[in-house]
Amino acid sequence: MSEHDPSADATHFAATRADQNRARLTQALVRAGAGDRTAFAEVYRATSAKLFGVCLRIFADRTEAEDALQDAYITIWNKAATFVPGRASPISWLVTLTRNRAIDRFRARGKMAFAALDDASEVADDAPLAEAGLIEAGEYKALGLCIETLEPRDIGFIRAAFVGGATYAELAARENSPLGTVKSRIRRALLSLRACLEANA
Amino acid sequence: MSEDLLRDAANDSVTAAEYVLRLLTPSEHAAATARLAADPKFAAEVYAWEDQLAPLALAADEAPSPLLWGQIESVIAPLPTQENRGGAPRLWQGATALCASLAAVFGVMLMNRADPAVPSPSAPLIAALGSEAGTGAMTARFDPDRAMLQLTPVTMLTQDKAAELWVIPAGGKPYSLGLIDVVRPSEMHVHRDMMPMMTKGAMLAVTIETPGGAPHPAPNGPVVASGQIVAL
Repeated sequence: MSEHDPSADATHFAATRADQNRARLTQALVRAGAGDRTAFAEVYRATSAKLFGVCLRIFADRTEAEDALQDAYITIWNKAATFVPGRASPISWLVTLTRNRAIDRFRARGKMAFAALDDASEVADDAPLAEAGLIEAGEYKALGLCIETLEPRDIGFIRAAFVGGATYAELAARENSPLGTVKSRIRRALLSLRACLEANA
Repeated sequence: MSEDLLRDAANDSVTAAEYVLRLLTPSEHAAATARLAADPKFAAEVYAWEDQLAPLALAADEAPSPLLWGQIESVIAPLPTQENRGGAPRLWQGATALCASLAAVFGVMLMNRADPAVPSPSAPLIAALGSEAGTGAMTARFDPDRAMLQLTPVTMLTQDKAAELWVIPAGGKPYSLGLIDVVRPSEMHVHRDMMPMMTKGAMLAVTIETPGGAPHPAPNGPVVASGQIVAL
């Protein structure tokens, strides 16, 4: 027999735990969609810190981030019945919804207050994924691997777009690059990311 | 021919990603949203990208204010009535007890002032406002003859914003009684036009609002306390 590797156990345990959490959250979200307010409270308890983190990345101001978070959960309550368990993981669905609502609110203000692209910590920074313990748990391993195959500048673009809600026009303005150039770069990066994700599915 | 199909599929995938990343202009975004409803393959691409990219938006976990849940609940749930109020949390019970003792005090004062030459005074109305989330508790006593509403806050967690008092007739919409002091007991005069609403069975509620523009036509902020008006 080969040597016993405790870290493999830890990974396996974490992966199983992640599966359990996912199943529990899925159930709670589905029940919330049926109008179960206790289940909705459970969704809130399980996810509010994560989703608040999402809002804080878009709104520097804590009060605005909390307003956005409240808006998000009210939307989650109203739309929980549209969550399809097979189609997306519950946390992805919640994050997507929260992020979209926050960007809508952010854009309605008409300001561009996101962090500068040349902030070195933004580029090729996958620390948040590691901090959240998601890469180790194997849930988002493919994303972590595939993001790293991209050039740092493209990673920065995708993060700025996804996290900061920047449009092509805004990215081009920040970069002082022609719109067409920025579009081509990002599209090439997305195609490459897609190919990698499919290969590692 | 098949090369075109492959290229179209790739382009669709990129467009789906651009949609999820919110890179598109408002009109492109609207067009893609419409396409989502009509084109199942495009929709599948969008969902796949959403699922794959969602973790990028995650940052370090951070707990929001403990009051937030109460605010969310008060928006998604109707104002509590006497019937659907569940087990009374501590703060609510405190408010009820305080209200009962206040009522006893005022009741005694009323009796001592009775004058047989004057028609007997109208029965005062009272309300004990509270919340299950513990965000606020206050007692209110309304004297219809003087049109005076006495307010005694117990706790009001309004985060240094303004507090506005509303009267909601049974089955009706809220009417503002104006901004109120959440720290000190106070008295406010109720306008003649509002008098018909101050009846048994109506609700009083306090919401958090921006001070500018009060009295507001409708509540904007969350309810921190509410209670039904009853006879003393």
